[in-house]
Amino acid sequence: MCGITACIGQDDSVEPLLNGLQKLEYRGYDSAGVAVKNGSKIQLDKKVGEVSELVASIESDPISGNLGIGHTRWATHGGVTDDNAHPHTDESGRVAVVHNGIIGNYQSLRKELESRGHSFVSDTDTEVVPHLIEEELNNGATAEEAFRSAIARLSGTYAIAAIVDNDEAIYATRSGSPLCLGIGPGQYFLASDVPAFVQHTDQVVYLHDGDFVAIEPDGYEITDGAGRSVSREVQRVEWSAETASKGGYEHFMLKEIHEQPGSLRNTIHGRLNALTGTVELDEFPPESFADVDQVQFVGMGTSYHAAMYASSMLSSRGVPAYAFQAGEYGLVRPPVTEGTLVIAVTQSGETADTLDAIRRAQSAGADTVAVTNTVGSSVTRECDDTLLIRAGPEIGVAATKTFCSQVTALSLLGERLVEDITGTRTSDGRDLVEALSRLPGHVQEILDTSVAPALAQELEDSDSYFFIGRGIAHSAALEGALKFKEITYEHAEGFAASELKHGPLALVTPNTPVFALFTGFEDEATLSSMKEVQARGAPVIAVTSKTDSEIAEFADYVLSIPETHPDVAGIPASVQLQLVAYHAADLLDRPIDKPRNLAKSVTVH
Amino acid sequence: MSEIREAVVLAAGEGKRLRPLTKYLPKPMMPVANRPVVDYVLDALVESGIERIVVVVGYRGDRIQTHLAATYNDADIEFVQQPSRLGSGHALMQAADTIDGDFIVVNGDSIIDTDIVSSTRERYESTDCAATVAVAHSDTPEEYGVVITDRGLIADIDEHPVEREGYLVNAGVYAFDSSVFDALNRTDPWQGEIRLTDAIEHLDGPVTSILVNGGWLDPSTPWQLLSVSETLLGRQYGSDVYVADSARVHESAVVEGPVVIGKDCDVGPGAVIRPGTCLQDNVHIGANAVVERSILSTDAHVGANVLLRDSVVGPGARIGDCVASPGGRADVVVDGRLYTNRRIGSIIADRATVGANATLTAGSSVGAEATVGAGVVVDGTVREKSEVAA
Repeated sequence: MCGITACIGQDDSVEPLLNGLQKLEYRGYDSAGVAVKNGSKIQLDKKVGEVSELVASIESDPISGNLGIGHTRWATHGGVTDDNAHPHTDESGRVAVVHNGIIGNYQSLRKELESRGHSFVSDTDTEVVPHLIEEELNNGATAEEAFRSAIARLSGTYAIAAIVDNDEAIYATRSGSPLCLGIGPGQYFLASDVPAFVQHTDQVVYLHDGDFVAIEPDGYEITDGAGRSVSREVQRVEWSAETASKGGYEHFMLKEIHEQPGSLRNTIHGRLNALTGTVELDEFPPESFADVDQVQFVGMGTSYHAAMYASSMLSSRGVPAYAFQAGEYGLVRPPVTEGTLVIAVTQSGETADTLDAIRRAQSAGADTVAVTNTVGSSVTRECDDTLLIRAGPEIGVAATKTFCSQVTALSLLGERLVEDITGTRTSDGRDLVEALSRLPGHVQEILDTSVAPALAQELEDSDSYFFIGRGIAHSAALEGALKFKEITYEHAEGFAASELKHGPLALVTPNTPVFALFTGFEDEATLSSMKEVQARGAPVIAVTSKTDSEIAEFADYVLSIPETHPDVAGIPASVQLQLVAYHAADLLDRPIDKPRNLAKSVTVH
Repeated sequence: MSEIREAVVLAAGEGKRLRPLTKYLPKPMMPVANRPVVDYVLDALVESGIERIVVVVGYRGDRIQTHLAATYNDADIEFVQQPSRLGSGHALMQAADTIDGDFIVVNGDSIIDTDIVSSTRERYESTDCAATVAVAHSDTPEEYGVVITDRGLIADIDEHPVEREGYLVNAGVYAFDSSVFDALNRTDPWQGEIRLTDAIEHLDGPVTSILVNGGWLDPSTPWQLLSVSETLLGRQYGSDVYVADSARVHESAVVEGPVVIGKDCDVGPGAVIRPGTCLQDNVHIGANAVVERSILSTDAHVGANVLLRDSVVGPGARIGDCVASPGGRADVVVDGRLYTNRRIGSIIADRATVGANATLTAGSSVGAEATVGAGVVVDGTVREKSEVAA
């Protein structure tokens, strides 16, 4: 998991490369580097730390060139050191390479190259690539031939860009890692993701696996592995550069939390018919899923929690539904029949584990649907159909608005699935549609009235933070705990409320606050669980709409949510927990948008 | 004197005279012909060639930030905070570090057009002066501060005139150079507030004025919100009806323009939507309801057989079946001052609930998150979060 950039044109490439890397920091920020070609020679600068370190280094010791490549790293092979930072070169410094992904056969390639006298300076898998290219150049190949021959030796996942001295082009290819081409006035760009160059152009080509691209100062060419020209559609992206700024908020995460009324409006826009109380999805007209008899959801992290949430909703409405961590899916090997629908939930659409799970399901004969935020992403190309969640770009590493939009989009899709699979509309369909239609306003209400900042202060310095719930609230509890742990670095865990007395209760002390989620479903039982932990002295925080009930009376603190359908209540509850996590992390002065060791989307295994 | 490329928008205030509508939404975000006031201000700045905009936010600033960041995502906008409300001059001082060169200052809570910005800018750039102030005619000069001009120069600005010495008032659009920040530092607070108009007296050099008319509209009370919205609706739509793609209007409903109906709204069978009405996004109008010259904010829900006239319904408010808010004229006290014989129905603030068959008399208001029981007759003010039963 890393971000790569490239830029070529008449003007200097250093500034666009560095700007691009800053926009890609969500993909990794262990180290950063650029290589540019000035005249015939390649100049390189790379540093451990965030892109700002690299910028400072280049300011004090400038480099320039009209073409160059850049990289921001999330370490997989080899520690976080200057030597392991990209770009990597051969011994002579003639070739520089940046790479996102994992080269599976690098050890055998490295042995082979070492046996022929090559010496390596890093512990990375990537470094074999410049040496392979160099050998081909020494054998008389052109730069482009050398690049192709080197790539042909690799197995694994990669998006790779390379430059060669005395050559006025950048060569790149992808296989299993994202890469897109930006076509600007007078400059061409390559990057792992569009925000890297969207301030320069909105004309984008999403490259496919196996595509090779060569960009030159005045043009580009896309070819397949055999060198035959392929044509790819140039798309106009609607994200503008400013969308990826913090809009006056201290962190992207807080901005994105506040964007949720708007992003949820986009998610449901045109998809609900309040007059008939039904869901209308252009992508999936009635009978779309008439042949389906079971649904398997796959996802990782937050997307897995959204998948769990959706699977609970479907099960309770009579549809056999299961949620799997995508990384486990291929190992557990759940039976897939012709009537199996596999739904991939992934914000980025590039999550490696989720793509693997989809491929396995397809080879076993399942139909596949992608539920994603990213137009043109790998998952949209690999699945049979796509439902976009329309949450808009999310920069904070901790997913917030995309979780709520995922759950909402899955609820819409769920209504279609239930009707098609069971043959009848759900009895509470009209109530659910009404609740979804009111959801953006309900989330605004929480943003207007939440006491989360004060609560975060009250709970500071606790030993651990626990989150419990039943049914869909179990998924929301797991998500609440994930949000909390990933940005505060404090210990946080979510449990099914029913699980408490089978073990976790042993962890509960007066210094472990417990968040209990009430949705209106089995509240009595959750109230008993709340009393159990309270009896052990733990402070309890009830997340509930029943602010004048026994629940509020027993709770030490209340985070109130508007009264709504029990299956929708998990969304406003999640917004309250996002705010608690954010303010707790802010008190601890954590780097909220870039938590240590994490990256936004995980495109490696 | 250099060409002006930057502007500061003062948008930190609440707009107290619009209470209870401002409980969660500051005045710059009040909907006028279905767009927040601040959008008109930003449009005027962008269209007159301003390249960089600094917005000073304070009261409920997150609402302005989130809205502008999403709506003007191509514009170069920076936000600065005014942590406490200590006057317009204090608000401008918060932007001192973000500005270099000459700049425009505008109020973010009243509507201006491109001409006002352009003519203020031209007057400033073509004269040798320390500042330019836009002035306009007003019927209520006591609310704005009277400007006394002398041969195109500002002689005095009286914020709280005892007599109506003239009818020219400060329209809240200025051009300055950076010396205004020094002048602000030399300005003594008046009743705890540093006022921008006071600082103008401390500028070293003449202050020119420019008379602007028509394009300046200030929706500072609920009835002005309705009349300004009606005016702009007429200007933009004539007698047309605008319905967003995703809105559903039942075939038996009647809509008489000018009316604008936002995204994902639904208008039930037999409903009548009469001129001067704005439905923001996701508004529900029940069967046979009649809505006339009213503003219904996002997520508002109006039941069957409701009558709403000259009324403002806040975000997420719910009006039960057969509620009557017939409108008319009333004497209203706003921010401690009595206004007589104003055309106003009722004001129902954010997420308030009005039970079936209730009556809301002219000039009444229901606070945010308050509940009015079925059949109650509201004549006056229902406090926020309170409950009134029959």
